[in-house]
Amino acid sequence: MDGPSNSSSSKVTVEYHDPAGVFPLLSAQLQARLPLRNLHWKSPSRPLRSIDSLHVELVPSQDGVDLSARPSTAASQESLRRRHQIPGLRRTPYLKVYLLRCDDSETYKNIARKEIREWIRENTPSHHSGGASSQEQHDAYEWLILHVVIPGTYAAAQPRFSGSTSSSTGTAKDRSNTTRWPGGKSTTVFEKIRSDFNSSSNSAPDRVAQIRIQNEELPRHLQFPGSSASFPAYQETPQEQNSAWTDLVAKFKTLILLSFNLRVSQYEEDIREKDAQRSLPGWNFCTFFVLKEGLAHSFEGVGLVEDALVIYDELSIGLDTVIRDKAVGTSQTDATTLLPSTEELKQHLLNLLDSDELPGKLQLLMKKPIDEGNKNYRGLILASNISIFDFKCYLFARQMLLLLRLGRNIFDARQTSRKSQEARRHSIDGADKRLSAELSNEVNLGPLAEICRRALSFATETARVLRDDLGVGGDEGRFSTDAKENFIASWIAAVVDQILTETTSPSLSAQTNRAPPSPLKIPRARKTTGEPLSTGADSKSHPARSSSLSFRPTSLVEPLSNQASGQPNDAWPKRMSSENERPGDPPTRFGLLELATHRAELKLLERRTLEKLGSKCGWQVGWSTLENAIPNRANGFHEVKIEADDSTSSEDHINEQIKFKMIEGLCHAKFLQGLSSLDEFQKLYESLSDDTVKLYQIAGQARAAEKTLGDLAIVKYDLGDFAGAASFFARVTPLYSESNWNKVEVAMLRMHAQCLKALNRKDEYLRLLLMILSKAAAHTRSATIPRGMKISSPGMRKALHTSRSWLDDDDVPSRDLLTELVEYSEELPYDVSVSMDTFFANITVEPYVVHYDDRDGFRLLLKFRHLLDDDLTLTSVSLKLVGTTAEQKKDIFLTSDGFVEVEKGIAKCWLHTNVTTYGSFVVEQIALKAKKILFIHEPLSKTEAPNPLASSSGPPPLESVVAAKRTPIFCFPRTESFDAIIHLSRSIHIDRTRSIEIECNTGWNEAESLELRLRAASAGLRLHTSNAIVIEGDVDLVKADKPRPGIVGLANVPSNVKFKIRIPFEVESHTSDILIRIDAEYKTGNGVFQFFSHAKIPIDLPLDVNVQDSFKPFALFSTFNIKTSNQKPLRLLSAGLGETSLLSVQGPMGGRWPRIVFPKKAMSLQFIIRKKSPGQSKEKEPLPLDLSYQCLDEQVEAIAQSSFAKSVTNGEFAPLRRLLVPSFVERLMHGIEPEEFTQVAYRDEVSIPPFEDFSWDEVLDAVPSSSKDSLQKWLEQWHELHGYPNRFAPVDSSHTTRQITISVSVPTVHVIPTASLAIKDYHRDYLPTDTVWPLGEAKSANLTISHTRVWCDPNDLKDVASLGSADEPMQFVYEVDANPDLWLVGGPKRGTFWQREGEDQKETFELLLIPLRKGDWAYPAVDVRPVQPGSAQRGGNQGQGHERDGEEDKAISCECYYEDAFQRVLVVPDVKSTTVGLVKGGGTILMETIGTEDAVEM
Amino acid sequence: MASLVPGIACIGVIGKQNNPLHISLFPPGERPSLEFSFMLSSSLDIFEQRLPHKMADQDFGLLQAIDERLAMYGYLTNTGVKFVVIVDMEGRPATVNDSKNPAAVGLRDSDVKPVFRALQTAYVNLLRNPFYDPDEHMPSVAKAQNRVGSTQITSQKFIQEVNRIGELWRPGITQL
Repeated sequence: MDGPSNSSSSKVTVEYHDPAGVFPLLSAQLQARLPLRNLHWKSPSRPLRSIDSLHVELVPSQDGVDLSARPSTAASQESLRRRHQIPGLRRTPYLKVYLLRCDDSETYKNIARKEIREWIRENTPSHHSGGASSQEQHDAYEWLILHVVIPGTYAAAQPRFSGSTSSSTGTAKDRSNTTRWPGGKSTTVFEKIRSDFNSSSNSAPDRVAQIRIQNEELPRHLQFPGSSASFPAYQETPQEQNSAWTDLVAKFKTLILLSFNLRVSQYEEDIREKDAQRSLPGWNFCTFFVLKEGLAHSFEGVGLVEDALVIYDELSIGLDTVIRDKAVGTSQTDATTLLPSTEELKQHLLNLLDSDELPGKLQLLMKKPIDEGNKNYRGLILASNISIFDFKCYLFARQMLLLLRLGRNIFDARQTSRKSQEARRHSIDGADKRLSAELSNEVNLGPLAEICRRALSFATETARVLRDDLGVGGDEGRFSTDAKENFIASWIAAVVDQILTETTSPSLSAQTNRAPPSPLKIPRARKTTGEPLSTGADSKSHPARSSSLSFRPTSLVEPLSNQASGQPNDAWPKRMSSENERPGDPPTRFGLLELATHRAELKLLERRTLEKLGSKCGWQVGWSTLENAIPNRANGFHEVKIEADDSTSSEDHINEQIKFKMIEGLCHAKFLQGLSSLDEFQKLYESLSDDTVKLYQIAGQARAAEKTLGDLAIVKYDLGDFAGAASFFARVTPLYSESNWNKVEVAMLRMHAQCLKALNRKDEYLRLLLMILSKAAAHTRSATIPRGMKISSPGMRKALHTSRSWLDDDDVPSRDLLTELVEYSEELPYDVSVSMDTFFANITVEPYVVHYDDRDGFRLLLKFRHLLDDDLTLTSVSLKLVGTTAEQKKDIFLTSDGFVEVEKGIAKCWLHTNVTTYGSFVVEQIALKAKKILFIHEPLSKTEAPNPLASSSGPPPLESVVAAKRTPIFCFPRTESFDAIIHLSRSIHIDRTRSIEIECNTGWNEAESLELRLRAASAGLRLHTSNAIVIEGDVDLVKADKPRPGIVGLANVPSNVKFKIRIPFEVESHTSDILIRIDAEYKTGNGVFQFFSHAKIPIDLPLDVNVQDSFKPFALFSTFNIKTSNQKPLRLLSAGLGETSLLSVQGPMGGRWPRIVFPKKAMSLQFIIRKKSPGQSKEKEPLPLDLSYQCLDEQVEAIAQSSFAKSVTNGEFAPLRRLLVPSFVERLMHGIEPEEFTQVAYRDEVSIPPFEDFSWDEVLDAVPSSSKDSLQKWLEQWHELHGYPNRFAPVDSSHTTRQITISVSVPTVHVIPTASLAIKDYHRDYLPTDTVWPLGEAKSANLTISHTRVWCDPNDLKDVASLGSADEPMQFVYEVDANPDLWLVGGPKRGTFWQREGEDQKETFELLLIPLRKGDWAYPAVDVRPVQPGSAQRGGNQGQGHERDGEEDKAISCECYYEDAFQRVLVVPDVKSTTVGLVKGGGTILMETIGTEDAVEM
Repeated sequence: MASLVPGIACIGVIGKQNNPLHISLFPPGERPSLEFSFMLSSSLDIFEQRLPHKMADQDFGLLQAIDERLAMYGYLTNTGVKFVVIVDMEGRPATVNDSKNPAAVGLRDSDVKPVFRALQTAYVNLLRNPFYDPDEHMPSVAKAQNRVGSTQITSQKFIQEVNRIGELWRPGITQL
C-alpha cells in the first residue's frame, strides 16, 4: 500500500483489526514502547543477528473501523497493481493484531468468539495449512489477539488469571509475574480466549495478550460514566501493568520474527532456485534482481541493513558480470535485455540545448542525480526495460541509502515524525537543522566514508556509461561532443555535490574548523565549507540500530610491525606525526580520516572535471597551466599568464564562441556559475581546492594536501598574489625535494622563482634558479655517465637519450635559465658564490705548465664539462695554486684572457700567469665568474671533508677531485727566463756582518725596472737591504727616495745579464739556517712579471777552528785546530795567518795543499809569532787567519750540476733545464749520506744512483705525456752513461770555494818567567842515557829564574802591577811541586824574590833532590808567579798567583816557561850486580847485591 | 572511430623513502608528466592511510579513481617499494586482440594483478643485479653524499621490462 518511499521500507508493518475502535486507547502507550528492542534472529543459514531496535508501523486493516485517512497516491496505486509481481515492494504486514474489546464473558461467548474465529479464518496465513505459493510465503505474517480491557467494565474487575491455573503456553516471565487471584472464581475472559485460540501444541507461539486500560488514560468521551462504581475495578499494580505490556511486546517480537523467518527462507529458496537456472536459456537478470531485492528489502525492513547491503553488493557484481558477459557474448542463454542507451537523458540534453532555461526536470535531476525516486526504476527493471545507466544509478542509490542508514544509525523513534518524512520528500532543503545537529554526535563515520569511496568509483564509472549512452543511437548530429562532455561533467559534478551533501558530517565540519586555518585567505573566495550541516539528515528517519556486523576494520588490524616484518616504518613518518600533532584533541573518530580522504577525493574529482571544462576555452588553472606551457616554451622561461578576456572586439567574438561551446550542454548550477567568467572559474577552482586542502589536512594526507596547496599557489600566482604564492611554494616544495621528486620540485621551483622575481626578492630568486640549474646539471651529468654503466660507443649513448619512453625524473628543462641567472645577477649588490661542482663536471686542470715562447710565466689548461643547455659567458676564470710545502707561502693566481664563451660540452680554457717559480703546487681553487655569479671549485676542501657514508657505500668521489689531489702541478721556469739564486756570501769575515748574495740572471728579459723583494722568513733574521751593493755585473741599484725595507730596485737591466747583489743580514738568535723569500717583479715590454723563489740557507759554519797558544820568552807558538762542524769533509785550500805591524808570523813549513779535513780528525797548523820590535806600544791588532776551503758536498753538488746541466743543454730537453737540473741535484744530494762524503773524499768518486732509484716519476709527471716517454728514455740513457762510479773531478769548482777570515787576537801576558832546574853533577849535554839517577842518591840542583815583560804593554803592566815604572822590580814567588812519593826535595821549596826584567837578572836557588822510587820520572814541577799587588798589600805572602778572583784586568797575567818541564830522569836502584838463588821447591831468594858505588869508584 | 580500450597510462615505482624510482608513461610523451607525478606522489598518502588496515596481501587494489578515465592501483612490496599503476579506461585504441570490454564495468582488481606480479618480477630481477645497489637510490644516502639529482633507476633492462609490461597489458590478461 505504500508508494516507493524510502522511509517506508525501513520498518515493519503491523496491521491491526479494530472492530471496537479501541486502538486510540492503546496507541499512546503502545507507541511509547516502540520501537521494539533487542530482537535476536537466528536463521539456519546465517549467524545470529541482533536487532537492537525495530520500528513498527501500526496500520489499520482495510476493513478496520479506524479508517485513518491516508491519501492514496498514484504511485501507491501503481504499486498495488504490481503487488503480485514485485514481492519486495509490498509492505505486507508481518503481524496482524485483532484488538478485542470484550467487556464480559457473556459478550465473549455470544459475539466476540465468533467474530474472532471469522477473522482468524480470513487471515490465517496459508502456510499454516501448507502448500502455500511462494508468493504468499513472501508475505508471510502472524496474528495476535489483544484483549483490551476497558476500565469500568466487568472484565476490568476480573484479574488476569482466575486462579492458579496458568497457561501452559504463557511465557515464563508472564507466569512468574502473575499474581494469583485469591478467590477462586470462574475463568476470566482472557483465559477463555487463550484456551480457545491458542494452539495446544508446545511449539506454537502464544497469540493472546491482554492490556488493561487505566481509567485515567481514557479520553474523556470514552469514559464510562459511573462505570467505576458499577464494577469495583481490579487495580493492577504498576508492576503488573508493566509486565502486561512487556508480555505484549515480547509477543510482538516473537511473532514478527517468526513471520520474518518464514519470508527470508522462502526468498532464499527462490533465489537459490533462480540462481541455479542462470545457465538455462531465458534466464533474465532483471527477474533475478527483483527477486533478490525482495530479500534485501526484507532485511532492510527489519533493520538488518548490512545484510541488505551485502545483497545489493552481490547484485551489483551480478550486474557487472551480466554486462560483461553480454559484451563478450559468451552467454547466449542470457535473456537479460538492457536498453542500449538512456533515452531520457538524451532528451534532457536536447531539451537543454533547445531552451535557454534549464528545464525543471533536469534541474531536479541535477540536484539529486542519485535517488531511487527519480524514476520508477523498479518498474523498469521488472519490465526488463532499463538502461545500464539507470540500473547502476538505482543500485547505487539503494546502496547509498543503506549506508546512510548505517551512518546515521542512532535515530530515536521519537524523532521519527511523519512530518519530517514529508518534509524531506518535498525538499531536501527543508532541513531540520536542530535535529541534524542532535544527530550529528551519533553519526557513524565509517559508512559515510564508504559512501564517498563508492561514489568516487561510481561517478567515474557511470560517467563512462553515460558517455556511451549519449553516443549510441546515431544521435551524434543532434548535439555536439562539447555538449555531451559538458553534460557528463555536469552530471559528475551533480553526483559529487549530492554525495558530499549527503555525507556531511558535523564532526568533520568541526574538525575542519579546528584544523589549521586554511592558508587560503582570499576574501573573495567563496567558501563552500559553510554548506548546510546536513540537508538530508532529517530525512533519515530509519529505524535506528547499531551495527551487528563487524564493519569496523579496526578489529582486523594487526600491529603494523607484525604485518610486515621488515616493513619500513620510516616510510610513514608523516602519518605518525600527523596523528600526534594534536594531542589536545579528542581522539580522532573512527572513519573520520577515511571520510575526509574520500570527500577530498570527490572534491578533487569535481575540480578535475571543472579543469577540463575550463581548459576547453583555454582557461588553464593549477599545474596544468604549467604543464601545457612547458612544451611551448621554446624560448624558455617566460611568465605563464592566463589570457585575460579584455579589450578588442575580435577577442570578444572568439570568447563568445568559446563560451558558447563551453556552456553548451552544461546544466549544473555550480558549474554554470563557475564557467560564466574566468574570474568565477578561478573562484570556484580556488574554493574547491581550499576545501580539498582542509579535508586532506584532516585526513593527514600531507602530500595530497600540499599538492593541492601547490595548485592554489598557482592560482594565486595567476591572480597576481605573488607573495602568497611564494609562501605556498616555499612550504610545499621541501616535501617533494625531500624524497627526490625532481620533476615536481623543479616545476615548483620554477613557479616559486617567478613569484620571487615578481616580488623583486633577488637573492632568493637567484637561489632558486641555481637550485633548478643544479638539478638540470645533475641530470646531464648522470646522462653522460650513468651510474653503474659505462657507455662506450656514441651510438649507445644516443640510444639512451632518444629512446626514453619512460619519464626521466631528472629531465629538467633548463634552457635560458642560466642566461637569465647571469643577466639577473647584475642587479645584485654582491657576488653570489656557488659550488662549481654542482653545475660543471669533469673539472680538471692539466698538470703540465706550458711556457710562452716570448716571455716569462706559464699557462695551464683548465678543462670542464658545461652541463647546461645555455651558453655561458664567463667574465673571468681564475685558478689559485698553493704550494705543497710550508716554505711556499706565495700563492699563484692564474686568470683567463678576457671573456670565455662556454657551450654545452667540454670546455677548455687557458689560464695565464706572469709568475715564474719552481716547485710543486696544487690547485686550491678554481673560480668561474659570470657577472656576479661565482662558481667556485675547491678540490682540496671537498675531499678533506670527512664523509663517513661515502666511505662505506656509494661511488668514489668525483674523478676530477681525485685527479686534482693526486697530481700536483710542478711549476718550473723556462730556461730563458729570469732567475735569482740566493746563497750565503762565499767569503766570511768572522768579525763583520755576514751577508747573502743574490745571483740574478735576467735571461731574455729586458727589464725596464726590476724590484727584488726580500722577505726574511726566519725569526730574528734582519736583512739590511738598504746596504745592498752590487758585487758583480754591470747594473746599478736605484736609490729610493724613501727607504723601502726589503726592496732592492734596479732600473734598465738589459737581457742576459748576470749580476750579484750582496745584502748584509743579522740574526738575533742562533739558528742553523735562515729562510728567505724573494719575489722579483720586473717590467718588460710584455708586461709585468713576477718571480717567486725561496731559499733556505744554512748559516752554520762548516768548520770549527780553535787555537792553542804557548808563550816562550822569545816567541808565541799558536796552534790552530781545524775541524769540520758537520760530518762532511772539507777541502782546505790554504791557510795563512796575517802579520801585523807589531808581530811577525812564521807559518808552517812545507806541506801539501789542499789538505782534506776529515770529520773525525782535526787538522792542526802551528804558527810562530814573534814581536817585531819589542817595547813599541801600539794598539793591539788581532791577527787575521784566512782559510780558504771547499765543502765537499757543495763541490760534489756543483760538479754534478754542471755535468748534468751540460748534458741537458746539449740534449733535446734543453728547454726543461730548469726543471731537470734542480731536480737532479736535489735527488742526488738527498741520496748521499754524510758519511759517504768521507769515502768520496778518499776516493775522489761519487756514485750516482741508477735511474730506478732516482725517483724521477714526479718530474716525469710534470711534463706532458707526449714528451714523457722520450724524457724517460733520455734520463735512463744518461744514468747509464754516467752511472757508478763517476769520477769526481775537482775541476771547475772554484766558485764553491769559500773564504773565511778569523781574527785571532794575541792574548795579553804581562810577564813570562823562565825557570830552569839544573842538576849540578852532570851536564846538560849528557846523552839521555846519562840521565840515569841511582835511587836514593841526593843531588843538588840549581833553580834559576828570570822573566821577561816583552809581551805586554808597559803601561798596562804599570797599572796592573802597581809599579812606578815599567822596569821596576816585581815580586815573584816560586814553588817547587814535587810528588812526595817520588822526590824528596831539600832546600826552600817556596820562596819569594824581587826581580827586574832581563836575562841577566837571574835568581838562583839551590835545592837538593833525592829520588825515592825507581822509574822514569819527570823533574819536579816548578811554578813561578808574580805576587799580585793586591794580595801583597794585604800582607799575605801566600800569593796564590792564579788566585785572580778580583777584577780580571787588574791581575797580572803570567805564563810560566819552565824549561825543564819535560826533562826526565831514569831512577834505578844503586846496585852493580845481584845474585839470585833458586830455592828447591819453588821461590827465589836474593843472594847478594853489589852497590854501584864500587863501580863508580872503579 | 576506433574504440578506445583500457590501457596503462602510467607505471610508477616508488622507493622506500617515497622517492620516485621509475616512472613510465604510456604512450610515451603524450601524457602530462607533471600531473602524473603529482598523482603518484599523492597516492603515497593512500598507501599510508591504508597500511594499518592491511592484512597479509600486498595488493592495495584500487587506490583512487581520479576521473572517469584514470584510476590508480597500488602494490606494496616487502621492502617498502611501491608500484602504482594508473589505468586509463580509454588508454589506447582497440586492437583485434582486445576483448570488448564495455565501459560500463570498471576494471576488476584481478585485471591489474598480473601487472603487479610482472613488475615485482622485474624489480626482483633488478635487485639480483649485483651492480644495482638499492642504497644508491635512497634520497637519504644521496643527500649524505651531496648528490644532486634524482635517484631513479637507470637500468635499461628494467625500464624496457616496465615498458613491455605497460604496453602489453590489457584487461583480462593473466600473464605478462
